[in-house]
This record gives sequence, C-alpha cells and structure tokens, in this order.
Amino acid sequence: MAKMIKNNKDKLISISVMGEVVTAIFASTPPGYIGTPYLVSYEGKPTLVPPAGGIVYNVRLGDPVLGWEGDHISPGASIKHKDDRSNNALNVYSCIGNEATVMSGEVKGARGIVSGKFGHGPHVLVYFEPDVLDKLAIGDRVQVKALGTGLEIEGYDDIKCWSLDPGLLEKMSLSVAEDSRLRVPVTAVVPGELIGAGSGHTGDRWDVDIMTSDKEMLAQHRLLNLRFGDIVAITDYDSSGACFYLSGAVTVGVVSQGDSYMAGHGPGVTPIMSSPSGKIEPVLDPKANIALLLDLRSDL
Amino acid sequence: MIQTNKDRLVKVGIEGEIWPPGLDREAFMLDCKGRATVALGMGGIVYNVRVGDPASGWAAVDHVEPGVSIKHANNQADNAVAYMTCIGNEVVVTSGEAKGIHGIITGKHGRVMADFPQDAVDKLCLGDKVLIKTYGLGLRIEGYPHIHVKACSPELLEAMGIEPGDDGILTVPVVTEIPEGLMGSGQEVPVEMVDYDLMTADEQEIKKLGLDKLTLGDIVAIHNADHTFGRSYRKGAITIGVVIHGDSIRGGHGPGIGTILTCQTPKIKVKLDPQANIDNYLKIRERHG
Repeated sequence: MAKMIKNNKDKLISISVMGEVVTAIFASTPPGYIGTPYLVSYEGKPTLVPPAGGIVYNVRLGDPVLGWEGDHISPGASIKHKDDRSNNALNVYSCIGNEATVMSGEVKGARGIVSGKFGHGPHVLVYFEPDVLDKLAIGDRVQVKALGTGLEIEGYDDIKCWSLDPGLLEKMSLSVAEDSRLRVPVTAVVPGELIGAGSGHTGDRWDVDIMTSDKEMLAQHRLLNLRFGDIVAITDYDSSGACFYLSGAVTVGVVSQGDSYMAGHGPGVTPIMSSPSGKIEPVLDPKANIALLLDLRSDL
Repeated sequence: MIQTNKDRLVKVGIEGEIWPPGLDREAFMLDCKGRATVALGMGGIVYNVRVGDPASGWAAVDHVEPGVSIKHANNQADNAVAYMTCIGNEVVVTSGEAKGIHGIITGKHGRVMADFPQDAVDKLCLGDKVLIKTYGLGLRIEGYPHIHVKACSPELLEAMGIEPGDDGILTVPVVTEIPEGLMGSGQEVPVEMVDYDLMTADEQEIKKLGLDKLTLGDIVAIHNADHTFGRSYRKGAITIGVVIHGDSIRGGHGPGIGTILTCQTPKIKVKLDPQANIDNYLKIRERHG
C-alpha cells in the first residue's frame, strides 16, 4: 500500500504581502548591457528584445520556454513592492501556488496564482487568466495570501522546502521509493553544471538560471522542450540554504522566467525543494507542470 | 615567443583609493551548511594574506582580498578602475605617508587588489589615494584571433611561458584544471570587470581534485568555459584564469578566478606546472620582501 506523505500545513502561518504590477525597464547597468538598451549576447551580438517585467499577454504558463524573442521574459504579471523590506517579505513569503488578488483598478477582486519568483529586484510572478490580464494596469496592487514558509515533509528532515504552497505539494503526486527516498515527478533533469547565475544566492526568494549557450548539451539532456511551469530536478545542486554545486544533492524547482541571450543566464528555475544528501529521486513525468497540477489551463 | 600588439595599447593613469571593509548592520552570513557566521576578508589592508599565500584554510573567511583593496568613490570613475586595470599593472601611492611607493595589481574583485613592499605596508592608511597605470585593455596575441585576452597586462602575458604552436594552438602552463560545473557566483557578471568563484562547499570533490591546495596568484584552466562575451557554458571551450582572492564560507562562493585568456574551441592546451603563479612570473614577493 502506498505510504501517506504528511506535511505540517496545519502549523503554517498564512500572512498578507503585497506588490504592484511593474512595468518593463531597460536598465543600462545590469551586467551584459552596454549603456544602451542593447545587450551583448554570448555570441557577441548586440541584441534588442523585450526584457523582464511588464504584463506579458501572449506567453503563458505551459508554453515553451525557448524560442521567444525576449530576454528573461516574465509570463503573466510581475509584482514588486516599492519599499525594499516589504519587497523582501513579498519575495520570501510568497509561495508558488498561493492565491493572489487584485486590490485596485479595473479588475479589482480578480484572482490569480503565484507562479514563480525571479531576481534583480526580486519580483514575484503571478498567473492571471487572459481576460484579467487584458484589463490589468501597471501599478495595480496585488495582494498575496502567503502560505508555505516553514513547510516540512514528515520523515524528510533533510528536504528543505522553499516557495512551495502546501496545496501544490499535495498535488505533485509524490511517492516513497523502496530505499525511502522521496519520488518527485519532474519533466526534466538538469545537470548542476549547467546552472549559471543564481549560484551563491540564497534559495528562498529568486531563481537559478539554466545556461542555454550550448544547444547540444541541452539536446543531450532533453531540455529543448522545457515549458513555463515545468517542475524540473537539478542534480548535484543544493539550494537548501545558499545555491551551489554539491555532489549527490538534488534540487527541485519550477521553470519561472524565460531564456536569455546573455552569457551565464537562461531560463530561471525557482527552487521549491532541496535535499543536500540526495533524499529526492526525480521521476520523469511530462505532466509535471504547475499549469496542469493547479488546473490553470484546460487547453493543454 | 608570442607576439602581441602591446606597442599599440594606450597606457592611462587613473585614480583610486584604499577602500575600507564594510558590513551590514546584521553581520551574519550563512555558511554552506546553513549556519550563521560572521566572516571577513573583503576591503581594507589585509596584513597577513598576500599573493603567494594559500587561497583556502583561513578561519571565518569571506572572499579574502590579498594585500590592499582599491576602489574609487565615484561610480563612473570606479567603472574605469574596474574595467581598465589589468593584472600586473603598476600602482603608485599619491597621498599620505607612503606617497611615492610603488605596488603591483594582483587581481580584480569589484575592488582591485595590489601588493606593496612590506616595509611600506604599515605606512598605508585607508583613504590614501593611488594612481593605477592601466595598460592592457585591447591586448591581443598576433596570429591567434580566436584566443581572447582579458584584464591581463603585457608584462604578465609575456612572462607566462606561453608556447605558440601550429593550427592556432597555444600551450599555457597552469597549476591545475577545474571543471566548469564547480564554478558558481559571478557566472553572470562582466568578465573584464570581475572574477567568478570556485564553489568549495563540496569538500570531498574539492579535495579529490586537489583544489583545496590552491595558492593566491595560481594560473589555472577551466574546461567547458567560454568567456569571450560573458561567461557561458560551451563544451570544448577553455579559459585560463588567475586565483585572485581567497575562499569564502558562503555557499556558492569560494576562491575567485579572474579570467585572462579564453577560447571557444580547444585551441588552448595546458601544461601542468606547479610554478605557474603570478608571484613567480612578476617576482612580486621577491621585489616587495
């Protein structure tokens, strides 16, 4: 008989945090930019494409990550708080799967779901239905019912959960392997050596990037068909405190942010679980995508 | 002997000052096992860690910057310090008690680091102005356009014992070789400005590869690392770097490798040589006591 996997969700605190829908900006200072909106690609080519931020209408959870003419694009709405400390709270406490509500503007009261987090801000990504996105304005306030900080999986002291709503955890079809490792369905397994930007940061509030400069390497590891919202494993990589290479460690994360032309960058994965001692066994399952698990897209 | 375009480079004197260490109000940082720790090493005058000393094994260490750390208070002027300074450049103290004393640039880490004669170090004061005679931006190796030079002075490049070969191959002496998968923080930052870190949290792997024995100033190779236009993963690419700062307790961080040569294809061959260190090549400690 399958063993019940319990968690401590009834002990967690649910708290409000808030951000505003942010516009896209062309910053002249981030690495890779040359004092103009052009960035220099890893091939040395000046490139001008939409950056992160803004309301992204036509790229949604469940869509392919690679192939868009954009750099670090953020599907749906990106929210941030103007005050740094409040923004840190928004980013650390918000968890993928949490409910978000528009609190001002034309679509006041509309509901969305937290779908990821990304750096240089940092920002929280919120999924809204297309009819809500159409009426959403930059500056609209979005409140998140944050729940998930402190989440633990019973019997797995070694597995650290970050940014993970308990409701999503329970829909992930986890099971226990014969050797007692936690089996986690994922769409792909990324070798830790492909992780670039994000190493050295903490695992609690942003993402780590899969470097996509070597397409043969991506093909070899079946990473060319990644979709936004995919749950993926990263092997030999720990994100239970800071993010770094560690033989045998396994990180599980959600593909949140789009690909990049810049060296050291690529699709952003927001860590949701990490086991330094490898107590996670990734199991391939093409349905391991949060758009499906949270019933956000019936057309997939 | 390799030929370079050094006689076409522009040598520019720019200003910096000896920069103090800084800490946030909450000084704790997390080590790679998640323990809260207070650590130090960045900024200031580090009296007891210099180029030629071990990169690892220091207690409560966070990116220890050997010798003297230099920066400019104005952001744009500091960008000039960060981009124009090359390893091996000459630096002169221009104010204070040590005015007129010459040193040598040993690396770049947001701040740039310099080694000074030991009998002058006690005269140095935080805030003393220095002049860096920057020389090396634009440096190329004639006949090897596929191999890019970054932040390296002509003096260092010519002293490294690089052997030109057929088919566009250069052979470079290095102390050791590092797989790209062990490289962490700094992957996304400009190559010409700052290093990136060897992740040392995986102690077993680091020991197995002998990377716990690195010396500050060591020349090393990194495989599958293309640093031509930023730091990207590319099978077969190779990068040569200098160990410019020491280890850190923080996960994802560790000894810093500053890029000096990079090639997108395996046209740089390496030759293991335990003496491949900028201290030997530029005779820094021999000159500075």
